Amino acid sequence: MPYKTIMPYLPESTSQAVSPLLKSDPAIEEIRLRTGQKIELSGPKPYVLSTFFSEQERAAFVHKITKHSVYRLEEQLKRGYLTIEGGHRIGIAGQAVIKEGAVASMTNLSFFNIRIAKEKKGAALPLLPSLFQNGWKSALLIGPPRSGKTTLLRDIARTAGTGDEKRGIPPMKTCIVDERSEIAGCLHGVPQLDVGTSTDVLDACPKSEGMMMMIRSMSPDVLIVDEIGRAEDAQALSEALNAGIAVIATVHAHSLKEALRRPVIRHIKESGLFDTYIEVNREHHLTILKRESQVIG
Amino acid sequence: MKWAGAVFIIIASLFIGWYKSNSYGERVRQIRQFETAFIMLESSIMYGAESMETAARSISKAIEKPASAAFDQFAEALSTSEDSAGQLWTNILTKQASGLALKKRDVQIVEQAGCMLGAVTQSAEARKLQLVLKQLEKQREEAAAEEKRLSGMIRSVSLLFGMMTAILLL
Repeated sequence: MPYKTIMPYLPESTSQAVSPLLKSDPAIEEIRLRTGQKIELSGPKPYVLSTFFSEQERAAFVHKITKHSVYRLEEQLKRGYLTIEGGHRIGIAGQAVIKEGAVASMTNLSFFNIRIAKEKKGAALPLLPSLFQNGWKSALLIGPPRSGKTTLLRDIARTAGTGDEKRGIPPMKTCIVDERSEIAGCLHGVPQLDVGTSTDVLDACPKSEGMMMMIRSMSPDVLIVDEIGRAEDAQALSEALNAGIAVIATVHAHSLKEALRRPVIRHIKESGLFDTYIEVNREHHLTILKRESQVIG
Repeated sequence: MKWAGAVFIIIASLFIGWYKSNSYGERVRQIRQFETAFIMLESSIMYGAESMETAARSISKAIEKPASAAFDQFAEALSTSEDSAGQLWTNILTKQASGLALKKRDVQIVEQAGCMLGAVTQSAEARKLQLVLKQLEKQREEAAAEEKRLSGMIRSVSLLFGMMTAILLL
């Protein structure tokens, strides 16, 4: 029951309202709490509960998720999310605090989106023949939000780190750069989700910097990174791939064609950095495209 | 019998005087305890990145009673209550105030430290704690001067009072 670790954070009335539904419908992906509004659960089948999320409950919820310590979550608040036990991510919205033209923090937190982290062991099995051929191949997973990219990435990390004797995959030194604490769901630096036995995790570190740090310090065979897209990411990726490291990354887009509209991804594709491109859609259908694929629009 | 009564009166007066003069010293000691605690809290917030509960627990172990008890109760309340840290700190101080040697103004300053505790940014926490520390320093200096000025005098007066009462009753 992946949602069990969420319950202690919820105010009692909210917990009582959502618990039976989470139990009966394991496909629920998100719990949405909006101050003064009805609680919503989203997934393949959405639910709107009759229970309201009151101002008092909001305050109690904020105290619980911040552990009365807003000062140590400034960076997460700035990014708009924080991670709790179990690797669940709480997206937050409220009033942005602007300093020198940039978001410095967030206050009056009023809207919350609890994304339930789910482990699907074996989710990456259909991809293994393409990803592992006498060694791990570099791949880019492309999919829209909630298509299960991170779940796939986590299972790939687990398989790479632990190995799969049945399929002749040995355990390899795997490193995860988990900028948003979504892949390993680290809490105090310890992964809350199974990411493999030979896996090192760099938690909450900016991707480009993190990739370079891992390359220099942990000598990985496989490097796992989520949601690339910035210019500096491409530079770090190129560094890793040219060092003979297999990089498996994800990017937000509905298709490779759409992803290629972003200059960084187009540059990555043109440089031939990845061996394989994998499209994932909301129905979790996988399309494997090779480097030579002519899907370029 | 009369002599025994006189000795008893003198000892009792001395004890009262000693107790009263000690309370001046105790006030200085307790202010210093809270100062140390807030310096530690500031360090935890600025450099330790510890949660308020963890910081309060460490502080309670590092300082002496009665300030340690306040921080211990605070840590406990943070782990169980849904109230704000500021509210919890105020509640604890209200309960403990009668057992402290602090004056009303000292307690108010210590209570101020709890205002918005854990609800603001690192720099805001540091600024607020610095302000509280400055105020506590001023209170401590005043308390130390008071101790220097009054504690010796109170001990002498209590001895004289005891002897005078004993002489009158003999």
